[in-house]
Amino acid sequence: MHRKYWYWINNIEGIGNAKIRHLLSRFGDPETVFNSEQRELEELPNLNVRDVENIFSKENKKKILEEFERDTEKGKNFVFPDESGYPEGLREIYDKPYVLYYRGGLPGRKDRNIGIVGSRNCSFYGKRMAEELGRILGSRGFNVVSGLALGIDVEAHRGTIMAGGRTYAVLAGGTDLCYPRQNYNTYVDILKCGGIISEYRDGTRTTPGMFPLRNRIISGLCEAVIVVEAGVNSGSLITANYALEQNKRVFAIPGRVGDACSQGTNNLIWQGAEIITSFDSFLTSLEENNEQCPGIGEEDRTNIALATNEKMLYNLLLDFSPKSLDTIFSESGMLMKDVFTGLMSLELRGLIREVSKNFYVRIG
Amino acid sequence: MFGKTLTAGINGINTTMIEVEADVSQGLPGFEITGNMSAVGREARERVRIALKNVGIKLPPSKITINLSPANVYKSGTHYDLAIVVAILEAIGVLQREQTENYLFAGELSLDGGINPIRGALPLTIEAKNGGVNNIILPAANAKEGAVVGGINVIGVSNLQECMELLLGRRNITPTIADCDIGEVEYDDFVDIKGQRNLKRAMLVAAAGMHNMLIYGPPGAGKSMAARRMAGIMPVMTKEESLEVSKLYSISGLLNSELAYISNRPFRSPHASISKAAFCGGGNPPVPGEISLAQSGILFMDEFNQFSNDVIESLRVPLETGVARIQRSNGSYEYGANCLLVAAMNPCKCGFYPDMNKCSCSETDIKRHLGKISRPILERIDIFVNAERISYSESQYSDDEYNTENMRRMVEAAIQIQKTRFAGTDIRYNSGIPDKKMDEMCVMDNDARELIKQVYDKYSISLRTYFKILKVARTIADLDNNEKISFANICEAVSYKNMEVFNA
Repeated sequence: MHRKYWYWINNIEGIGNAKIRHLLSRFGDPETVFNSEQRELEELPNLNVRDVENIFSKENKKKILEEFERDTEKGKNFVFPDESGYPEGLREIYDKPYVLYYRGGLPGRKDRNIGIVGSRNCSFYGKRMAEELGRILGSRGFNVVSGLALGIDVEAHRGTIMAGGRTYAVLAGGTDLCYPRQNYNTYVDILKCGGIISEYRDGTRTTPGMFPLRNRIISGLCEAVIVVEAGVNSGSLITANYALEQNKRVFAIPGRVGDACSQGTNNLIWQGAEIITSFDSFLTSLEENNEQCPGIGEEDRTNIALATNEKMLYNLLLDFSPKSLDTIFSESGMLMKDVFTGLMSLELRGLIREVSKNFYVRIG
Repeated sequence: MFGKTLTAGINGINTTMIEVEADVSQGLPGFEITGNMSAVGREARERVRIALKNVGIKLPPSKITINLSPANVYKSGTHYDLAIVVAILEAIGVLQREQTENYLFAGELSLDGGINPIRGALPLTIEAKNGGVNNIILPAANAKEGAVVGGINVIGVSNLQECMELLLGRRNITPTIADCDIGEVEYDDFVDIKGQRNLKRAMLVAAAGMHNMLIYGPPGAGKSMAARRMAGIMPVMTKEESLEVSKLYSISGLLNSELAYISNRPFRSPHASISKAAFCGGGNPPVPGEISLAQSGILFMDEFNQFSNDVIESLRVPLETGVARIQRSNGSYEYGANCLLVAAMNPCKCGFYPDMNKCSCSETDIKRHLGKISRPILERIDIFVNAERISYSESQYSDDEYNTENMRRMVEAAIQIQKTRFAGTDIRYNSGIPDKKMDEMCVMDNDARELIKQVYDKYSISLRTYFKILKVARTIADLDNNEKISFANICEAVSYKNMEVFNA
């Protein structure tokens, strides 16, 4: 069967994923739908008069097929469920998209994809965790899938890119529109080390309703989804729900009790999501059936040679949440001069970072 | 039928001697004022005529011409009235030339012959003294203001009658004596501020080297409370500085018999809704703006990013040159603007960033919030510091070492070192060290040099930021009485860096 029929059925005005599913369950494949009689279409309970008109209209058919020719000539990439390039994981889900548009590339058949999702509003700890997970997974040959949103998503992409791994971003709108545009640099990087994926054709603008639907593709592509940080009403919980429905593994990073940024993830754990307590055990549980890939091991941080003052400051910053200079002064009881010197050398060694004016956080 | 008296004109902060000539001669009755005078000054015609009538002096029905020379200098203000009326009295023979010779007159007439207060009594008195005049007659309300100058008889008169009797020798008015003690200053004490050690330390450094500073901090952290106390840790103003400041206040009409003289360092805290004209000076004739009224003191701009862009950008030149210049078609006016800028703002819209548990702002919001201050302005600020809302345990902690008395002593010592260093140059404070003198004046020891090299590479900072760190480190070294900048000095200076520049 020619791809143009698939292209046609996905681009009829007013016919979305659900209606396509109905049409296909009645007719079997897009070509039969294309050649069907008006009477046969009218018999279907889910279609109204206008839908039938839109499907049957000769002009529409001609127009959409012309568009198909144009897109093919331009070298735009799209893949349909019955083609071999279509991601294996997605094929099995109930509400699978009947087309995927992409730039860059798609995950390979043998690839192992892990989704990393989380809130836009997140703590520095969350960002760091996302980046670290991206780095670890990327360096061990896993693909990292996320949604290019601000906060956790983009950190996960960045971490993977830094480790030289492959990462894929599923966008809610067309693949040609970088949303949000603040992440344009990462968008460009992803085109080189992975791909941008969407179920909508180029030029489609994003509307709020599209985000939850996009999440089913993220979880569908992956064998496991990690929720790094999520508030009570975070959209990442939707992804986690999809993942459970699709029979995928769900991991969550625990947060402190009472931490608004982690309330959603803590709830997930309570509901039975797998908890990540260390990167090692997480990797082991992922690689149970796989031979261990050689990767960058976590450096042993416990034996770093630090002067007494520095060690004291380093330990003060133990809990990964930013501490202000004033708090450090009063908690350490050290001379101001010693605090300044200690923080400076810790910062130069890459063990801590000043995340906001006079707020320091441990990163190593 | 000719009379001549002396007064002085004010143009911005500059004053010039003005001669008032009056001629009463035959002709069609009339009253003419020549000599490039502003409209408000020319209204003197009516005031003079009616005031004279009301004190019982009848003007002859003749042609009266007043000329103010030099005629090419633009004259605005109302203090010319008194000189004009005395010149007329001379011209019609009520007073004799010898009786008015050694006097300079300044005062505004009211219709009943009273003499109303004027603006700029202080610079006028200084001009009189410099011009070799022995006596100055001022409105009684301004007499104290003028008396501060010293070395000249300042006589305050409250009406025309008094003035005439004095000049005729029928009455004796004792010259006013300045009764304010110049050394005496009073400020709120830093000891009232609990905790905030980081902020206090940064303020000490800022005051010691005249480094402009920007404080980030949530509402209620005590930013303005601390800023208000900052003027107190700067060295006591010298008499020259004090006169300079008082002059600016005098021409703004802010001095009166209660506050005749500014001896405290000014603390100005304009509201964020201020207009550009009120901020850098404006109006007609142009009067000094807030930035000039903060001369030699603190200009505190709370909610810095809430000020209009116009106002914030207008800081550029004054911060660089120490002068606010207002250009008009009739000339350019210059007012001193050598102040220490202390700006304060919230770290984000809700004020809780970086506490992500409480902060409800998105990353974009925060970027936009901080991004409102343009780079050129940020580059003129040397010290960036965070003021935290203090916890209860901190609030019980009070650092006695950092009280105003001690801090001022430390600042004075540091400034003394700077004076020795800058002797023979026109540099006054460390913040003003020009780039080409950096190597000579900011000498580092070996450890410090090694450290700054690492910082330079790690954060890939600009040369300008590098110089800024060195200047602040120089001041910290001066506070520590180190001849060379040490490792610890650099560490502290780096902690006052601007995050934006470093994270870019």
